[in-house]
Order: sequence, then structure tokens, then C-alpha cells
Amino acid sequence: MLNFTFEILADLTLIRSLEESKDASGETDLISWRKIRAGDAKEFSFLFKKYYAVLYRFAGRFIKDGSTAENIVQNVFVNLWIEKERRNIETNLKAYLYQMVHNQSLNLLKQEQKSIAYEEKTLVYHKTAPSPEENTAEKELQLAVQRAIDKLPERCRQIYLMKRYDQMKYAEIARILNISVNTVKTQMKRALKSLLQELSPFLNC
Amino acid sequence: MKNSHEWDLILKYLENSLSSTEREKLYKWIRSDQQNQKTLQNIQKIWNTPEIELPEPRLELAWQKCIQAAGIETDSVPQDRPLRFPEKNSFILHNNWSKKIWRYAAVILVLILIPFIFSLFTETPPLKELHVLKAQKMEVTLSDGTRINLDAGSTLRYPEIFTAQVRQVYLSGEGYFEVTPNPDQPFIVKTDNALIRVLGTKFNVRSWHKNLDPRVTVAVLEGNVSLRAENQPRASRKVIISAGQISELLPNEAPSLPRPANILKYISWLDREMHFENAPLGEVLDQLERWYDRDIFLPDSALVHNRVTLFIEDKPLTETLQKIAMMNNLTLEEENDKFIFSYRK
Repeated sequence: MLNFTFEILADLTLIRSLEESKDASGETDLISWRKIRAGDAKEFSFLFKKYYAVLYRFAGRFIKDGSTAENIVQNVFVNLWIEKERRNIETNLKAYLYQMVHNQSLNLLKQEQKSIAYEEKTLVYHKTAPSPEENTAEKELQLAVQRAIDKLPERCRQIYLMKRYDQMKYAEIARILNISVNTVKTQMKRALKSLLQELSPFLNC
Repeated sequence: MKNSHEWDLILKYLENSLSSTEREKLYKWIRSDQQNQKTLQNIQKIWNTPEIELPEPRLELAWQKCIQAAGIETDSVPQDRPLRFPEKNSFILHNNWSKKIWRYAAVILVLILIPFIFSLFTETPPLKELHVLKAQKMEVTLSDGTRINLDAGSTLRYPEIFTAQVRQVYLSGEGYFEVTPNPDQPFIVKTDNALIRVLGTKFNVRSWHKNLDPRVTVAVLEGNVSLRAENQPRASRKVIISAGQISELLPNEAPSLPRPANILKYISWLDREMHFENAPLGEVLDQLERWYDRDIFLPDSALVHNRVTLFIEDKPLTETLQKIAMMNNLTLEEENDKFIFSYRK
């Protein structure tokens, strides 16, 4: 008879759709960047509205604090506007913005890691009020996963967050962090392995 | 697991970018060892865990701060504010008489406009209907970007453009949904007896309304989904199904408590594969008829209640039916495109 214990993987390629083609927005971004450089404030407001929320979440994950993330992203945009004539962006505006936000977050993180405040911040971040509808086991797993991610080596953690929660492609991550695609993949594997190990008591019970 | 090759497959699996040969390899690897299966399940569980969300971004506030700090003149950028009427009334009213006229005119105008304004909010736009023929499947993208994969025999009704306060569609059959998030306009799937409400997520709905399978089954891959019976008093028994869980709804009952399940099993139909565990034979044959568009006959209609446990793969129909024949002590014949089971003599 058939062995029914094995699980089946669905072929999700079908559902995958046209994600790939989204990179075409790189072109429109560059056109709008040219206008911004020429002083088009309206175009700048469009750019801001397009990327503010995603950059905010991206920064927030790194530094685990909403209001700091807001400040970082605002700073990046303000500086971009003020120094627009001096900045040379010829390849990809989106990657450039992520890079700026990433660098600023990292600097901040380094400063904070020197102080004790860092540990406390992690706790504050975890205290987010649970919504009543969510069941507690789910919530517990969520917390455990979050803690396990926080324990990853910094580079590893960044890459996991970017891949999983920012849903970036490997090439995008590589471009933003200025490393090779292979390194990104190696780090992803490392992240998954550590998470598995760290969470195994949680998952197997 | 030491082999780095398997990890490459797992990365692709998480990205949904496996080719069919790679998927075969991953299958093989999973089947080769219970531990491997467990590993992949655990990775899936970790991967599917949603993050703890930050407070919502305050876009408008951030933009105002940015304008100030960057020294941008507010005239030069569009403002997200309601339009203001001009300060001075452009009509100059000369005397009482003309004032009255204007007043009447205004009243009449409002009366004329009421039905029109009312219709803006209440009138439901005509629905489009999509029926997937047997042996086919289909992917459809709605006006809000929501994507739905429909299995053979399913019917979906939906408005061409979502204008109402909720995005509502009607499903009979089986569909996999990837709903574009929009907190201001919830997405609702209605079936014969169920209401499924979501904000933005991925989930599968199976609802054939056949005697042998009257269930509505909702399986969630990402996010949260609420399910309730349509004829039940509002919210009396509503369940929230989170990622990795399923809930079932039988006619005239409340939905079952969500329970963790292997969600991939519930969307394997996308790949023309399906698990049946202790299911009525009739349900299995219905599924096969929809997929292969062939008629299948039993020697006795009572046999539809026979229980079968079976894994259907994307293989020639004869192979699957031979298996069923064996399990139920029947013989199988093929005659003019029809498949006929008989009792073994």
C-alpha cells in the first residue's frame, strides 16, 4: 500500500506570478530621480510616499524601535533632497535608498550596542500588546522565533530579515549589502540552521 | 542535514522557485527519511511565523516633518487635504427674491441628487462570472490585484471593479486566494453557507456543496482569516484561523476550532495532487471526474459511502482508478471514454 506519512510539497511556481517583472520600476525611479535632481518637489513627494512605509519597516526591524526608524528614514529623505545635485545615482534608486537607511541603522546599532540600553530595547520591543483574537500558543511561537532571530549573528540576522520580511530577492540583498549573491545564500542557510537548532525544543513538543 | 545541495533546494522551496525536477529531488529527499520531513516542516513553521509588527508608519506626519527639515515650499507639493471652497462666494445675490430662487433651486437639486448619491453607496455593480471547465484550471487577477487560482469545475463571481466598502466575491468549488492587503476594504469570500473575511493573506477554500462532501474547508498559509456560518447570528460563532491552521464548516453548524495542519496538503491540488484520508469514495470520484472530465460508474450507488484513503497524483486516470478498484475489490473497464467499475466475480 501507499505510504501516507510523507508530506507533499505543492508546486507554488504557478502562484508565483509576475513578481519577477516588478524590477521594471527601476526605470521609472530613475526618470523620477532626474526630475527630483532638477528640483521637482512634487516628484519628490511621490518618491517619499512610494518608499516611506517599506523603508520604515525595514529600518524598524534592524533597530527594533519605531520612532527611531521614523527618524532615520526621514533623515535619509531630507539629506537626499538637500544634496540632490551632488548625489550621483545611476543604477537603482530603490537599492540606493535601502543602502542609505541600512547604513544609518547600522551606525546607530553600533553605538547602541556599546551601551547597556540595547538589551532593554529588545524587551520593550517584545512587549507589543497581543491582540485578543490571537491564540497564545501562536503568540508564544512568534516570540520564540523573534528571540531566536535576535540571537543570530548580526549579518546573518539582517539577511534573514531582508529575505523573509522585506521579501527581497537574493540579488537585491546582495546589491544593498554590497556582497555577493553566494554570500547572501550561505548566510541564509546559516540562519535557517541556527533557527532550527535554537527552536527545536519549541517545535518538536 | 549536511548536504549543502539540499539546502539550496530548501532556499528555493521557500522562495517558491523550484523547477519540477528540483521539486522531485526534494520529494525524494523527504521520503528518504522521517527526520528530513520533520526538518522541512520545522523550517516551514519558522518561515511562516509572522513578525511582531511595529507601530504603523505615520506617513503624513513624516512627510510634513520632511518638508520642514528639507525646506521645501508647501505650495510646490500636492497636499492630501480636502479641497477648500473659495473664501468669497462668487455668486452675488441682489435681493430677497433671487435668494429664494436659489434656495428652491438648491432644494430641488438635492432632491434630484439623493437617489444618485444613494446609488453610489448601495448599488452593487454587475458581477462577472467565471466558470472553470472540467480538466482545466485557471488563474484570475481581480481589480485590486488579488490573485485566485481556481480548480476544475469551480465558479467564481466577482465585480469587475471593487467599489463597495468591502471586496466581496462568491465561490463555488475550490480556490487558492492571495488577497492584496487593504485594511480599509476587507475582502470577503462567500460560499453557499459560509462567510470568510480577510484583510490581506493567502488561503485556500474548498466548498463543493455535494452531499458527500458538504464541508467548507478553509486552510490558511499566511495571515489571519475569519470564518463563520452565513445563517448563524452575527459573530456568535466566528473562528479566527491563523497561518498554518485549518477550520471546517458543516451545514447548520458552527465552524470547527482551528487546528494546526499541513497546509501544503490543502493546496497540493494546484499541482494536481490530493490526499484523501478516510474520505467517501464518491468524493474522490467527483474530484477525479472534475480533473479528468471523464464519467466514472459504480456498480451500486451505495458504494459511494465506502471509505478510502488515497493519494492522487498527476498520473493517467486509469492508474488511479485501478488502485481504487483494488482497494474496493472491484474490477475496472474502459468503454467509450467511460470508466466502469464492476463487482469482482
